[in-house]
Amino acid sequence: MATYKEEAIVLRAYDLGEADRILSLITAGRGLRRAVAKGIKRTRSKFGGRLEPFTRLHAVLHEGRNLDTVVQAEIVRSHAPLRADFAKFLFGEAMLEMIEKSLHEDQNIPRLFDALCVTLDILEGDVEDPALLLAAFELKVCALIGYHPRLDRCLHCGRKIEGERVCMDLCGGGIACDSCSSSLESRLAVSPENLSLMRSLLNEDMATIAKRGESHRASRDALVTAFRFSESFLDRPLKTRQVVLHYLDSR
Amino acid sequence: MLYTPPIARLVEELSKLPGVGQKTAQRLAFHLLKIPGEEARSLADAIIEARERVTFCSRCFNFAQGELCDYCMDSRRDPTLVCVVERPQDIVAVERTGEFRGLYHVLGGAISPIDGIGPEELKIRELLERVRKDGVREIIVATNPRVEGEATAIYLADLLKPLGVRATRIASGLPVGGDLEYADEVTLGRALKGRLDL
Ligand SMILES: [Zn+2]
Ligand SMILES: [Zn+2]
Repeated sequence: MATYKEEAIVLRAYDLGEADRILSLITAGRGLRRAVAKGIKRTRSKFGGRLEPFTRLHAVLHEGRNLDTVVQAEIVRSHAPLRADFAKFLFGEAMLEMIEKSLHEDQNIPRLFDALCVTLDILEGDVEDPALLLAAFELKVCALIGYHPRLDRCLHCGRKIEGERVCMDLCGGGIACDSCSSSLESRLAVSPENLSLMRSLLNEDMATIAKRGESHRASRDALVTAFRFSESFLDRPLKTRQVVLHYLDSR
Repeated sequence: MLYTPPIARLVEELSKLPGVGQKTAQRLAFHLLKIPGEEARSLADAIIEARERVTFCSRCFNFAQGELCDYCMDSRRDPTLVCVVERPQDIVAVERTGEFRGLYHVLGGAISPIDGIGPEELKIRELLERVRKDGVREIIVATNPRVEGEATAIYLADLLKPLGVRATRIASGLPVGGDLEYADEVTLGRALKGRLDL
């Protein structure tokens, strides 16, 4: 089987036996891959700190039947500041999980890799409120994987929504006006302020969102809505979600 | 699989052990059937005895045989110096150095949001309690130098600083016997940051 070169970001590392670790990687050209890093837990491993989560690298991998094998790794960006600040680490991990859970193995959506690169670079710098950055990231990833949140008009009657209380139709992928939402099975009430913030998070670029500041309450509401929205399209729940919300509530 | 039920059950139980796959479980099962009966019984007894008699130390959460572990009961050790580790087996590693004469605190893991493990899942509240009650002067955070261990260390430092206790982190850097040329930039960067006066 072939050896290939890819730019990749380490999403996650699982222990395998005494010395090895399995990595979950998002690659620029081949989507989500799982690869084993042999001997990485030994102190003298040639990989050293090169394969820690958040690291962006040029990797040489050997293709395997179930798992690839990491042959060589060079750091492009270590994203060290994400490991030196607890909030950055926590919100960053939530982003990594979002990417891992929105792709099936070998599925490739190149813009997802680019979105993660850009967002991690921004998260590393000055960010007013990382919770808003995470909420925006979740919404944008949904859009990239084919579930663009529809936040302008009622999904059911098509009426344009402005400044009123609505519900998020979690199965439909958008909002429903008050009269259309009563029959919905899976819905989440959304205030006009929350809806307007969600629209901004979906449409503004990440650098702009990084400068945004909102009240603690508004930012938490946006994050909860984004979590609920994205979870309705993912097969698996987001495990970081509880930890993130707990952290926000303890502040 | 065509084993008689007792063998099938043994294979199934063994394959639940960490790092043991189906094939290894079969090999272990056949080995256990081949060895003398008293050897097999002695293994079974050891498992049961360990499970029944080993508890967790109520102060540091290390394994113990009663209320407190051996380290917490040792009056020659310095109770104002506490080394925080992820798991009880990490204590063994620190003890082997012979360099540490304080007490320990076992967190029960590291913060790993992606696995759903937040600070509440670890013995962090209990550590803060100890700091307040036992007059601890210094906390040495010896979590693993990987992303989860680092995040846990930072989280602890943020909590400990306002309490006026000194919080230190074990240095990480180049492996002894290694070569500078082959070091990755993360490891070398940390080694530089944690440099010492000569
Ligand atoms: Zn409607
Ligand atoms: Zn103890």
